[in-house]
Amino acid sequence: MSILNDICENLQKGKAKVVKELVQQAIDEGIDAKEILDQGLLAGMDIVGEKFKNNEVFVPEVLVAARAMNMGASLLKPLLSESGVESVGKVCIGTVKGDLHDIGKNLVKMMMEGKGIEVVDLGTDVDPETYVKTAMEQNCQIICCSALLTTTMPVMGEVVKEAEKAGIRDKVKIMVGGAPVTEAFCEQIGADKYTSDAASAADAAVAFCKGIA
Amino acid sequence: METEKRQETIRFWVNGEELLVPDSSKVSDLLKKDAKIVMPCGGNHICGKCKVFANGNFPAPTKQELSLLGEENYKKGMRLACFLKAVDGGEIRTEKAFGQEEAQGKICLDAAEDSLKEDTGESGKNALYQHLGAAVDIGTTTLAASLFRDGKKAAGQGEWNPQAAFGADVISRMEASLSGSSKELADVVRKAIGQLLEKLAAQAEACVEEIETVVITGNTSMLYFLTGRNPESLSHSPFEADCLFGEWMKGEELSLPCKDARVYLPPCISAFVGADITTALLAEDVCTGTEKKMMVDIGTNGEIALFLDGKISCCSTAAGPAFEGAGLSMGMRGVNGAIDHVRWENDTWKFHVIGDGPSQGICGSGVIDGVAGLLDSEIMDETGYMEEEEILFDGRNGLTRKDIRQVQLAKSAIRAGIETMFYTAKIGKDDLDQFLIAGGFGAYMSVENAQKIGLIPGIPREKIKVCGNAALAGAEKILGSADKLEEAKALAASAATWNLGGDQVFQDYYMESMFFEPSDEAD
Ligand code: B12
Repeated sequence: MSILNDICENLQKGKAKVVKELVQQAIDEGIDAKEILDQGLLAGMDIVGEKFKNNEVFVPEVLVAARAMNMGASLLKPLLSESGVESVGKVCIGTVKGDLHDIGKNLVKMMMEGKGIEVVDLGTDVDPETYVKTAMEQNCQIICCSALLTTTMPVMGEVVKEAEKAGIRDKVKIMVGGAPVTEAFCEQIGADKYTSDAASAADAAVAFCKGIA
Repeated sequence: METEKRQETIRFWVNGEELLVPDSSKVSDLLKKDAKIVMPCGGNHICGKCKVFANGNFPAPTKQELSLLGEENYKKGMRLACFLKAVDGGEIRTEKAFGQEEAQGKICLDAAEDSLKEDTGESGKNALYQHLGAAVDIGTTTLAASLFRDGKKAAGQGEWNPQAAFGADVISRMEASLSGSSKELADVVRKAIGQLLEKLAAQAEACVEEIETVVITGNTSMLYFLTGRNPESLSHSPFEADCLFGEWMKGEELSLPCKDARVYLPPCISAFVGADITTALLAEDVCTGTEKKMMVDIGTNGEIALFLDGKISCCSTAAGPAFEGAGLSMGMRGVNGAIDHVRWENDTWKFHVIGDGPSQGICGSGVIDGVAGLLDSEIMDETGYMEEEEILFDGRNGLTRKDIRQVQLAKSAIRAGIETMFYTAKIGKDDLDQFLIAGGFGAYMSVENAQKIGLIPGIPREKIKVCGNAALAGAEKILGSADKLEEAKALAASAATWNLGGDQVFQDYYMESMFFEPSDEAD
């Protein structure tokens, strides 16, 4: 269907207004909301994510694409809940205590939302207890921690310990990321998954939520 | 924590020197002692820059080491020091010991030394010394010092900051300090300063013990490390320094060869706007008169200061070490073998390598030129996208797609900091009377290309002043006049600082400035 293609194309270019108009048009044409979301908006975000992984597009393009997606999705939301579409899963995300860098965290959030995951954003300077409390109260399957300072990275280890203490380690996965974080560090603190970019982070989160990883 | 085992002592060779060390000592620790190596990531197995030649019974590299090191380098007999543990009879050679670099043309040190050619001529009656005094600037990357005799500059010299062995940026060094290396960090830099002072004294045919006064400037972290202070307060949010210096010490306390000398550490402005900015502002008389001025120090921790209506405001915008070559796949410092200038001309690359030999990498000024050239050649578009995986300017070294993304993060941080300052002060770039570029790197980069890629705003060239190592020049002024010392105190006390963390305006500009666009868009 070409209108879905148009949505996908315009989303990649970050044309939020056009995307919104096209989504409205598609709704008016009677196309199923789930179809518009999957084959229009999410398909577009997928391509952006893939290009981002390959360094073909960069942070600003991802942000404008995500903005366009949110504009389109806002129109679909009421229709989707009517038809009772379930989200893929639920995660909470935040930048760890002592750290205010949040650009990377925001990208991860957008990419996850782009994959149909519900995301609770805890913002920046988040202490370990807050992650764990939120995960328990809101039934999140994954806790995502971001850190950009080598001096705040260790807080991620505290999050893992806090989750152990609360006895939720068998139910909740912990993902870690941010420029100074490495695979080895993730293993060392006993977290479940590290990825180097936001698009892979979203893929990994989907896998966790679906129980394939 | 590892359990303490009784360790045997083994014999191990470093650069031909035999050492007796505990078995399985970390090789990077052995190399750090005399700062024989540069470790931009502080030994955290991230950057892959601490390559050494290794010979002996070392266990085979792990997957992680191999991927950072590269198969090819492994075949050449190289390893990464941060992964290696000493084995009996093993031998290590550092690729480039400091000794080798020393005799060669080096951008950073040249810049440090260049500023020494001019005599600040400060010799007021109220100088802080009688016959012999010295000024020192501790930069994160380089040290610079000068010696004054009876009001005249008698000698000047630059040197690498040996703390590079503990990490390229200040946070990595804080981490090292917090995990037990604070004494080593202090020791290596004190020793290096001591040696510099001795060299200066020798050049001036004086005796180092005769130095009566030393003014030592540097960023806040550098002064913490020098004095062995615990940098805890600088290492995490809210980043409020528990000491801003502006105090006198004795040479002895800093293990300087001039034991009886009085040492002055000028005041810092905040945790990330240090005494080096105080003295740089002082040197250029930024905070006087009615003109509107901005000073930018383009470096790992880009500092920006704006003087407007008699008030000075500062911020720091952590660009990262891309402009010092760290973090880029073929990046290196501005030493022999670095591509320092590149140009796209008549459909080919024209390039220059420091020392004129074959290139070994590319340094910051080459990176700025390179990106500008990629734009000129249309190989890369203004979003930073290029079809090719990498472009080698001389067939050996250049920039990869990923490097370009790193440059975008760094340059955008500086530019967004500048724009946020303009925005908050409600002025535009055209309102400025003077735009000063301080620091060693700024002295070597092409201002035209920096504007082409959008690192700095499109301000007419005649309003831009490139001032080199202004931090040292300011320390010299203080040395030459007690009035300047008072001025420095007043300046630091009156300076306002802005924290860009969590600032929405900064973030919007950060995104906007990410593209490589000539900087002529309006404010
Ligand atoms: C922008 C920036 C800032 C901005 C932050 C704005 C903001 N709202 O975030 C400002 C100017 C405020 C700032 C301040 C500081 N900064 Co800063 N900053 C940077 C900079 C330039 C870019 C970081 C960035 O946004 N990258 C882009 C994003 C998209 O990448 P990312 O975060 O890595 O995220 C990606 C992946 O890592 C991954 N990911 C991220 N999170 C997660 C989470 C999970 C779960 C997963 C799976 C994946 C994942 O996905 C993302 C997209 O692919 C870097 C240097 C550089 N060139 O990288 C320094 C840098 C991070 N900052 C640094 C420092 C020191 C500071 C300051 C302490 C000092 C100062 N001069 O002010 C302050 C502290 C602020 C604070 N309170 O925390 C240092 C840290 C050094 C170190 N060894 O730790 C750096 C590396 C610069 C340097 N070398 O000196 N900074």
